[in-house]
Amino acid sequence: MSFISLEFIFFFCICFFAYYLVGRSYQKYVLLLSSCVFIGYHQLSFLLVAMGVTLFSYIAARHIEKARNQKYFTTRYVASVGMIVLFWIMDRYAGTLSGSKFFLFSLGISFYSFQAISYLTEVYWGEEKAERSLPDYMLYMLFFMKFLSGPIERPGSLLPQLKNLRPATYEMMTYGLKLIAVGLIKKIVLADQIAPYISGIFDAPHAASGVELIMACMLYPVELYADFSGYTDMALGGALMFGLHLSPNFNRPFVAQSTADLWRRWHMSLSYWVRDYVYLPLSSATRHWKQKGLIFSLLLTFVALGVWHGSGWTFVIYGLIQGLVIVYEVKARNFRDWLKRVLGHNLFATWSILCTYVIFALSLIFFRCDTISDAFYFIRHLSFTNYTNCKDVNLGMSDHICIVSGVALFLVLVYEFFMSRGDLLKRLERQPAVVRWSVYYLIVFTIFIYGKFGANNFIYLQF
Amino acid sequence: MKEVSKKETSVDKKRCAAWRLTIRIMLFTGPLWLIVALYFHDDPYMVIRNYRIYDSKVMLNESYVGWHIYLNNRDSIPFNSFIMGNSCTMAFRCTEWEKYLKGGRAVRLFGNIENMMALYKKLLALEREHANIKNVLMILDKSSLSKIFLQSGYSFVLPPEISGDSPLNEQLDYLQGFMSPDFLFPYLKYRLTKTVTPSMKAFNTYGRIRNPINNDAINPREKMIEKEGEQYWISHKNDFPPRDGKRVISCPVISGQQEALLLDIAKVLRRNSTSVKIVISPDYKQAYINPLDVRILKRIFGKNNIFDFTGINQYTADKHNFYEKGHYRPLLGNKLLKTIYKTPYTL
Repeated sequence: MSFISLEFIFFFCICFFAYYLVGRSYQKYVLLLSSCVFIGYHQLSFLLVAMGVTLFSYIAARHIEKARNQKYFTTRYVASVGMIVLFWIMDRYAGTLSGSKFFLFSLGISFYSFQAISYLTEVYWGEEKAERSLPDYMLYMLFFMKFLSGPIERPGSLLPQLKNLRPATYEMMTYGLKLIAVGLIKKIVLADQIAPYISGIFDAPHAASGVELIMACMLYPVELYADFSGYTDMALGGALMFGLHLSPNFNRPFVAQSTADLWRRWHMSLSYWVRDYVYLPLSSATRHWKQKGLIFSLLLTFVALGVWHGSGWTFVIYGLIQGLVIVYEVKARNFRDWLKRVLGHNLFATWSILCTYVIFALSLIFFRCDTISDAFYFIRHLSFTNYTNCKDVNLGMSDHICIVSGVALFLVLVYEFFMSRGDLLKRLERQPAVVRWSVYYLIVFTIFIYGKFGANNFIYLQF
Repeated sequence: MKEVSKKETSVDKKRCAAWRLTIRIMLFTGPLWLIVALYFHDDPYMVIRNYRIYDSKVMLNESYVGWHIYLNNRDSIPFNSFIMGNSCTMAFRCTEWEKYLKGGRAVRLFGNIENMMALYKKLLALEREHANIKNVLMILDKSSLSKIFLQSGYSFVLPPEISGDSPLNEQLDYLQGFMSPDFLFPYLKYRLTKTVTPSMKAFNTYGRIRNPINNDAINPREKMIEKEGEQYWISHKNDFPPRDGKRVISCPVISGQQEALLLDIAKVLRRNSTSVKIVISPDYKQAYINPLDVRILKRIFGKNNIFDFTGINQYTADKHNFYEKGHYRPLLGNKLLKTIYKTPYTL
């Protein structure tokens, strides 16, 4: 059940009314039941797997806590995390390796497995107490608004909210609806409009001209961002309507001036997860290797981040490129400072933003192509000289789609600029009703008229 | 006690918030519901109710209309031959094709900018309906061969019986088309004045444009040519850009995914022992389809079943064979049929 489907709209409305109709003590059970229905609706096995991981991590955390100051304390933690990682790998690779359609990659497993690992680690570190209430913990793991594509929530941020559910105020609900509208614009007015044309090139790079390859490469980060951040906005907005605050996942990634900065702004819940649970322990363990330890930790962390996205060497290379670029940025800090002095702040910032974007776009070729040979073919044939006609520049998109998606991208960037200067949505709430309702109508009609319905797929669902 | 009552008041407030929001949303969406009601009442695209004859002042979805013409008539006419492909199928008349089919009865199941995936889905739908698929005439070009995704939008969406998509999603596409200002405002004007003017895009100003039995095109431009004669090509000279006579070969468009889809299509045709003829449409611009693509098609469907009319040849030389650079006339379609069914075939 995709967020952009009539089934989901009906499902969400039923949950919403049921949530506010029942007494407070039953509200979490409404959410839990809804989450189970939501997951099981896709496939019953997905629900069983998710339940299995949830119950295992719930019991494991209590055992780890019990074993504190005992002999097998660390062994229990390592074994528990190892089991989850092993299960995640088995689930991910079973279908690929066996070639059988019987093994389906469980929806959302990468997200809730990482949530379980973060929970076990926090309990192991003594930062969190093992959760006593099974329903609360199940809801933390299975809550439907963040189940399919995150954000990967930390126990410290979501569990306390679930333990003490506070239904949303009217302002929270309307704010949530506005976030959903923003997410819909990103997803169906921008991402889904350009997606078929970009997919056409990535799926058959051998049939594309050099200019088409360049355009697809440069537009893919936009598609990916609009698709994923659109999903996240809808997840955040939907959760807010139940009074729950989920963590933000993006913070204007395209203004990042370095790849390291980009990863502090892109899929933040995952990058902070790998920073806290992979990079920091690794760099601490290898600190006696000095800079080599740092480089090793960085590379391994980013390879892990790449592998999180999927099975296949393309994802390893994707992660490795990110790691290598960040290592370069660390090593070339003096050069970058010198360049900044020479060029001046504004020119240097513009140059850095462009470089970061281009490097990210090029690395995404490995993320998007099916095989390494396709990716290398793609890179080898990027060229301005090899084109068949001027239509190559817009990848065969009609003028209508170019204008709609171009305007949508511009509006999204402007919206995010103003959001970084103060909450635009809250400012809108303070306007007179006529202004507010006019803006709302404009948004609704824009979505209805220019949105592309029926695509029903989010890129990050496959992870 | 005070604590409990305070808590309860707060919960009631939040419950009120939910009701307040619901009421506001109902008020806010009132005008939208009016438009939706108008859509369901008028059924402008003729896709909500069943009709015997699909004629309208509104341009209809050709895939939907073709499919329903077939369903409407299949009990009285034993259709076993299908003209499929893009809008260039307008040059091929069922009655003309039937002359070569030894008793076969044909119907045209085409779609605007139809691609291979839509064609595949239509074949599967025919199979599901237990149709006798004895003959298929596919009218393709470079674009239809390259695209493998189903198109959305009210002009292109396939009927749910063919696409397998939910009828609700299908209606959403039509509703979206209806709400588009490009359509809605001219439609409201038409509804008030009951007249259609040439400036109203997406409206049909010509009257009947299809045969209600076999979906043959009744092209109003034939009447214009009949009336205007040579003047037609003079007044439409902008539609016929000059050609330099140079040999241009298009890039190959069939790669892995396209080939896999073509193999699936061939499988369906084999399963039904279908005789297939594939026409690569003559192109006014005289660009050749890439020989690699033709080779793949011949390998999959048999070399005697592929008829490539692209490039510089007797069919593309004369502009009188074309309405404009994208579409050719039944005059040429008849010549192509003659060539196809003449053995041995040489171009």
